[in-house]
Amino acid sequence: MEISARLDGELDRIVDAELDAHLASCERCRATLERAATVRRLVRTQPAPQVPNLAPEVMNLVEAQRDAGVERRRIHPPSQERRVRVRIAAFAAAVSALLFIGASLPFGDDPPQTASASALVDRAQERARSLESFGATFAVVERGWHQTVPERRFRVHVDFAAPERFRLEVDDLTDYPTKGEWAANDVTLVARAGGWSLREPASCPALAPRPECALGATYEERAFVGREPFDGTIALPTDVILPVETLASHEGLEVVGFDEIDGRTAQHVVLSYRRAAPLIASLQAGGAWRPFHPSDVVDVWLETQTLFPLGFRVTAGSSDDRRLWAERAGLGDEAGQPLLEVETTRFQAEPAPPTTFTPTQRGVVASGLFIPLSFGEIDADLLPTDRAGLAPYRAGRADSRIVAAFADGMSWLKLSADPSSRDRPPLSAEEVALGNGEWGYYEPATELRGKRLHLFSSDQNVLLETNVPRGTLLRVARSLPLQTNRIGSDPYRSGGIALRRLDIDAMPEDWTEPAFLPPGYDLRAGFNTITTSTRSLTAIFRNSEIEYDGVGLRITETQGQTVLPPTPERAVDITTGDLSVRWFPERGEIDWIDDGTYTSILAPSFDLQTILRVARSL
Amino acid sequence: MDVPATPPAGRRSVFEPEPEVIRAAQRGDLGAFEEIVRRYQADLWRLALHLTHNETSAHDVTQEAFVRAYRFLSRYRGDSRFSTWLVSITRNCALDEIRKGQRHRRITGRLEAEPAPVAEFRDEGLGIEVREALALLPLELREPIVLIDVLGTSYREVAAIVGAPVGTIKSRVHRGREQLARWLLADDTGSAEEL
Repeated sequence: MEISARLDGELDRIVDAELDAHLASCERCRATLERAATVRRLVRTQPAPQVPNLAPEVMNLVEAQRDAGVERRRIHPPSQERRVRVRIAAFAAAVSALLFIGASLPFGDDPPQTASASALVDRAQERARSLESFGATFAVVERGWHQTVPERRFRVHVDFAAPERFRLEVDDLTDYPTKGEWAANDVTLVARAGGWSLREPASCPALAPRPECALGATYEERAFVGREPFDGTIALPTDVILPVETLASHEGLEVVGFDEIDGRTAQHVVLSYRRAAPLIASLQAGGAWRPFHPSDVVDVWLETQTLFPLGFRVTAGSSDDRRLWAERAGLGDEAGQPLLEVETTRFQAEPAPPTTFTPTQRGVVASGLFIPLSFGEIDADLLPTDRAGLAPYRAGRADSRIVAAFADGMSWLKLSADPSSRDRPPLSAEEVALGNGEWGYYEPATELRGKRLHLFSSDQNVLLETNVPRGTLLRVARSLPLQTNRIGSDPYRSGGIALRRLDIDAMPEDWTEPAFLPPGYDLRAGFNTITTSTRSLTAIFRNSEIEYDGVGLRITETQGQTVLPPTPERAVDITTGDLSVRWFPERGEIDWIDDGTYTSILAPSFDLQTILRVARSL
Repeated sequence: MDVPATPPAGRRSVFEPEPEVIRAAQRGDLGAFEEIVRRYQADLWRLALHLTHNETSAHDVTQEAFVRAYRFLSRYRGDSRFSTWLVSITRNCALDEIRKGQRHRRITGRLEAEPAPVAEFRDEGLGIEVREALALLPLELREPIVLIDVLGTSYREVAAIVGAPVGTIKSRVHRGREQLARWLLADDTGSAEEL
């Protein structure tokens, strides 16, 4: 990167001199420099297209503005779709964590049962199917939002009706220091089958304010209609959740004991933010909130009978890398300081009135392309005979795909079949033998998506997506009438680079698995990257059911590389044992060179200590 | 193989108006504002064209950018270069225009202007290949290269306009130029990219 930047005169003198020294001996880098210089020259010297003279028209418009004194408002499209998707998905996930019984809550005299992790998981899965509706209110205190606003208070209402209706309202009760300059963090998110609407504070770029960024009036409204079921713009409840998924992994989960909250007995569990992220993100599905670090500590009090969280709290962690992260993010957190405190003040199992779930269509309205069809119109040969006990919910067509979704309470399963797709499975997907010579390609659930299984038959690409357990998903896949094939490991090429999937049961002789891996992490996929001058092997380690950030832990080893890749990012040099590495805190990656082999470990949701432990065990 | 050891001389820099002109325009002097329009329209139009691939859109975007600039002139307080402020506005307008075109298509979560058919560009002989190649680059990589090489903006200003750290801009420029090299120089060498 510095090579390109040098051409633009962007390097300081010291780095420039170092680069000269390097270039003297590195032919590949000289070639890179020459190529970049040629491209740069071509772009700079391309004939300029003829520019029209716009001044007269512009001045007419400007004068008309001034004379009329009326602002011509322009409706703006959503500014950050991605932000919406991320937040909504997490919310839905957490709601399912909250309550698993449709009936009124039985606070009986039964002695509290010590829950083992797997017992909790099973019970949660079972309860999820019978959860039809739920409503709750939370009192929320957040700290560290801004230097001048050290504490904020909110009231959050949540309503849910299976399988896809929900409503989130955030009322910002904070007393901000200078009224005009802070937009209250009020959020209204309403969703149901077919569409959703969201109203939240607008994000306004500091340098170029848009018309709706007028001081004091900074809300954005947008809506999405014509959406297909469980489309990932609003991932739904269950699956990735505390306690279901989080308790399934033993890492960082501690059952502390029992406490009394408001006269109710609650099980107190402690886990890392990395595991509890879906629960926290659920209340923060829209709006602007402060960030947390994967190693921050989360205490949750779960009502013993129903597993409903009566309260939870996020506390700042104390490791060195947390301190560095906070510094670089401009946060003034102190170790052990409570950052978020949430207390339930009301909950009920009775459904809210139907109008609660009617989205608005104000602001910008965007449309998906879903055309509903009845199940009778779907080719039966596409559908699995085993639907995990779920009932048909919605079906239809989106582009060239046929979509059929099944649901029961908060559990759901969706099939998409595309006769025109020639996509191959992602290289990071895990190849799974289904038996009978059939194969599928599996990806765990993420923040936005359910567990997915990609299947390939001779004339269809089929995707099954769900929040039921992985084992159940595989069972459903086996019951598909289609014959699903194994995708060959022919390399596919892209501009001078060849990529080839590896069989994880037949990894190369000279490859060694790290002796230490975080609990629950196993090798799931691997691939080779081959260019004319280098050969890399990337090994992907993940959880089985959920990998919230979608990445997991990835180790890449490249042969024939003798120089660390130049980077403009600020790395921190770390030495541990006899290993010296570069650490990139924002990315969660370390890298180093040893004896002609370059190694990098990418694990965005892990703390540095864990990543180093993996590195030392290689 | 003549590799430049120092940055080439005569590097373009973007025009910066005199403070008095800006102040006059802020006070409502239309003549001063018109001077600003005349000085910037070419650069902003070219930027808009590279982002939207469409002369009609570039036209609309540039007009809208100036109108917004006029409306919000009082908000410019001199804490950045005027050109940076104006380029930011233009960029936002271009992104809005791109999104508007996608409103009736499936939302995929990533905002990309699809490369327009080459027929959109007027045929000017040499240079077609470069424009085609640029148009094929994803928006994220194309943007900084256009700002730096076509408008002559500095890395720091681009970082402020785009809202990303300078390091990220350097990385994108590097990757963008590498990709252009592959297309324009019929070249198979290149660094291995992580997936």
